[in-house]
Amino acid sequence: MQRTVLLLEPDATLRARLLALLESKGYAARAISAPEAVGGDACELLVASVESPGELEAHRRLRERLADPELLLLAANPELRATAFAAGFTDCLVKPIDEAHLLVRVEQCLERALLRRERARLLGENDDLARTHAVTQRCLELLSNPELEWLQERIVSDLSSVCDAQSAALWLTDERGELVLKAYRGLLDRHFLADKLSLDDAQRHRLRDGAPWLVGEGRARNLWVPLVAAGELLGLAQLSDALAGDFTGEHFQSAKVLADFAAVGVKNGKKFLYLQRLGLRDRETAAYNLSYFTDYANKEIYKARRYGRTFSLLTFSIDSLNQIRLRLGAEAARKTTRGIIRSLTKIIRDSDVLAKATETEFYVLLPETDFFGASMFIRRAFQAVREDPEVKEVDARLPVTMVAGAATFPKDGEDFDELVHRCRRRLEERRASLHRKLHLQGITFWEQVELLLGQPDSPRLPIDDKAEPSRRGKVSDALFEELQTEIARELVRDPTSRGVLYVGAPEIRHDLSVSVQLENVPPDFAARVYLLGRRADLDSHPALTPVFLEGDDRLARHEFILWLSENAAYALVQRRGRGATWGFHTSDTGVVDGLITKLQSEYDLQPY
Amino acid sequence: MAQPRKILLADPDLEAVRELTRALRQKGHQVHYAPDGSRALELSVLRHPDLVLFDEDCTLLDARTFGQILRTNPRTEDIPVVLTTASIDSDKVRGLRDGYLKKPFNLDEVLARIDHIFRRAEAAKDLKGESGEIEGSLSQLSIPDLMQILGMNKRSGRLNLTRGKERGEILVGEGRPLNAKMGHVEGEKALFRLLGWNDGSFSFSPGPPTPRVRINRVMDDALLEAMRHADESARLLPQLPPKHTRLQLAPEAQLPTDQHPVTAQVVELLKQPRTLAEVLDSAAATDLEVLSVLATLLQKGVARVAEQQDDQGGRGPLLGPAEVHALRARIFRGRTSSRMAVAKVFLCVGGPAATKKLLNGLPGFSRIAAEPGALKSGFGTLGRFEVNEGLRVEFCVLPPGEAARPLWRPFASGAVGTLMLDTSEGALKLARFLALDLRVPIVVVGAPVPPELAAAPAGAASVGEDLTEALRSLLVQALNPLQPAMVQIEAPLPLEA
Repeated sequence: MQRTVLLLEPDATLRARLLALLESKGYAARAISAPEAVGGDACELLVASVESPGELEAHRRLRERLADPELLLLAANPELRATAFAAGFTDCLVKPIDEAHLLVRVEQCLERALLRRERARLLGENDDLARTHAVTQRCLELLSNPELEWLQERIVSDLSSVCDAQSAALWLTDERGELVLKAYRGLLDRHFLADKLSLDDAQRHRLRDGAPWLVGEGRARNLWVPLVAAGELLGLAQLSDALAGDFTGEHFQSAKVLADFAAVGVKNGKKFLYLQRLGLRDRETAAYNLSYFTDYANKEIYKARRYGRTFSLLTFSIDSLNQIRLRLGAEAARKTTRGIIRSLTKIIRDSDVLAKATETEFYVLLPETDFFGASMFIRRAFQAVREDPEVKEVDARLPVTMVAGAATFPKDGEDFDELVHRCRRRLEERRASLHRKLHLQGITFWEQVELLLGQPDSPRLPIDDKAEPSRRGKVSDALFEELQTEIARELVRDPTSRGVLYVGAPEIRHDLSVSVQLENVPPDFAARVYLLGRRADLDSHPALTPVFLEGDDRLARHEFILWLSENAAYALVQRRGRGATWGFHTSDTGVVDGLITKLQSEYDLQPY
Repeated sequence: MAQPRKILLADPDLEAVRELTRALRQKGHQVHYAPDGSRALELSVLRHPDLVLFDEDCTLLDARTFGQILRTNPRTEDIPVVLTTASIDSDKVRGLRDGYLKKPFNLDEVLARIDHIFRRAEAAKDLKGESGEIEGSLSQLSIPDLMQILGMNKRSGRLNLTRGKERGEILVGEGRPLNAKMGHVEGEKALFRLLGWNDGSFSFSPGPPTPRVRINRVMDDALLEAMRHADESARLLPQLPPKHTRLQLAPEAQLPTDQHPVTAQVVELLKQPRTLAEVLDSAAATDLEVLSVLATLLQKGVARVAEQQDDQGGRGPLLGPAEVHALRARIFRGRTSSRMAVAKVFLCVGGPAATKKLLNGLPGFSRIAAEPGALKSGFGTLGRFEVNEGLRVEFCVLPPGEAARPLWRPFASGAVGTLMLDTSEGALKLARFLALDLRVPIVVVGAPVPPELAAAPAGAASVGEDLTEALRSLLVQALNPLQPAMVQIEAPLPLEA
């Protein structure tokens, strides 16, 4: 290939001679009139004549402007050459020019230009290689872990890193092929991110090409990167807030490579999950199977014992499932089970484990949860199940009855069997509970109170021996105060233990026993104590929450104590009469919990 | 009225917080409003509210990020942020420092919660020493002088007093003494005792006056009365036996029926032998009144020094340090705690007679009140026994009757053991429940283990009549639950005994 040499020589004779000489040696030589005429185009060497130091300045500026071409000066005299050397020019010949000498210098300069270009090319290639290597490294890491939770966070992080994006979001396709938001980071507002992206067929078709594309203008441009493996769309990533203001072709390239690997990773992750479900989980409900659960529980027992922690085991039983199967068919039964498991899955934390023990029974393990926390979970679980559309549908045709029992390590047992035994016992108690026998679920708090209190001539309560005891009849006038004192003492004995206590009385007075006893509680007092009644002389209290019910005359006639804690469930409701107090009291957890739930819901009180 | 505070409500739905805003303003608080997270952040930095109620529906910033940003700024890191939410997602609300409120909420509850947060913030300030608390030594500034200063300046707050292991407090409101506490002694009696302290240290924390007023005197009157009591008591004490001496009523004494109320109190107490110190603590009247009555009763021969003196000093501690440590660990279930552990022990008795046996027969036992209500009703806490600074045993009773069955499980849960003081039918029924259902270890005092309890999962043992030994056996058994088997620690007494 001919190499280009430009010649800047005012002397026409010399210019013609030099042009002829260079052309005769195979160079593409061309004359120019001023240094400014040199552009960034392909020119490898400029041979320029210098008559004065002022011209040297013009050449210096040219060298600053352009890395190429090489510069060979032809100085008018030796002094000017010395000045040129002092100014940093390395190639300078003194006129008159020796042709052989000039050719050697030209060849040297061109050789140097060639080497410089080669070096730049190699450097560029090295950079590319390093970048590609880094991307490949990330890609391989994406294939190293099949856990989808980990993978989706990693994809978002890696994509935003290789594309220099400050924000990123990722949607992955679910079983129904819908793109569901799985992860996001950076400066994105969660409220503006769609939980699900709906795509029409044309869009899906386009996405299957796997090529990233830009949407928007200026700094608000987003780079969309599809995750496609073997023509199957597995996800879509949105990258925004480019660090440099916009995304470049290089970003496109890296995003494409990373997205291809990420897609394979996601596909593997899904397969792994599927296999895991087949091996460890029940096929229909995706709940873990019992053998996995037992192993997990034993490990949890070991950890809890080793680190002095607590955890709770819960049993849920769908009592009416067999009846539903018989009367409404297998599909309705499946729907019920699915709905219940879905509801439970919705409210459990990432660290909780749900397992299917039998067709009608499920276990839940709640790490770091005390008995009170487990009771609260049961309440939330029932609420979630009641709200599930599939369960609602079946329930409208035939009531779906479910009971639950809880046991806590180490309070209720130190090994799995003991905990299960205790759980089942509590389940039995709940099954036999007065709450269920009297169908208290559907009525208001005060209706429950009236029903439980009854009248002296009311029929006997249907108390089951298997249930925790409940009694109705005349009670001592002092019991209400004694109970407050004793419960307050219980709370102070272990102030960090959680629980709720509701004391309902006609008036909220400062001399109520519970108020006096809890006047000096420590700052870490964990129980929530509520006083409900008309305002008398207590406005605020360090440990109590007064709830003033001015217009509620039901409280003028009744008094109640409802107490639910880590160790205890107790309720007393009583009606003061002339000469005697008529009351009902119970330690039946179902009744106590039911009364508290209704009270909280009717007076908008916090669950805990 | 509570101290006015600045509260920021961040909620996109203004209607939803209108009622709360009104209630907060009625309480004197200044309320700011922000419709989104960004504006809430701006107001938090500019106005520095004392509390932020941040709704989860706020756009532009979510609650967690909002809280994180506030915490990273030294100017806003102390601002408590409470999340308000329509649904509780346990993962979402986990780790929220100041908790959450579920919507819809009860206004009274929200106001109480806000008060609680402010109180906690004040307590935190106190810990950091920003509360302007005064403290010093009583040898430098005596309690009467201190009280006069508080009285003249019409100060409100709590004066905490410490002398060795003893603690006391005097609550002052607008320069008047409102209440005083020293152990379980309260009111004027405690005030007069505390005013007699000459050494120790004090600290005064300003705060709102207590609503529970037990003293109705102005400051100067209270101080003069306290001095009179101190002088008179000092005059009477040499006429009386030492404070650890046990006194009791003389059996032959003739008592008039129309006694002075204080005399009646003291006479009632002396129906059983008690030390002079116990009588002083248990009677509701002031020390001077009790000392005067005792001096008269002793002088007239109605009361006398009890013949049998306890040799409690001769006994070693009930449990060794390792046993106390193990029992504390069992009570706290592995959690570490620096506070006093309370071991609950139940008594299975058929009636008050057997309970009185414990009340009078266990050296070191201190009653919860002069005549514990539980003695009469058969339900509640009778008293306590301090094993050492880290462990206390509290003795409780439950009524054995069928009507009281619902009380059994909730109040007996968490007990470390059961002392069976008689083998009546009621006591046995309750013991069976505690031993078999709740798996509590059981020690039968002065009788063999009934056959029904022989298979108690946590162990059943029998000891002689010595209650201290019975308690020790029980606590040791609570530490090392035995396999179902009957254990005889001492040779059982014959059945007739």
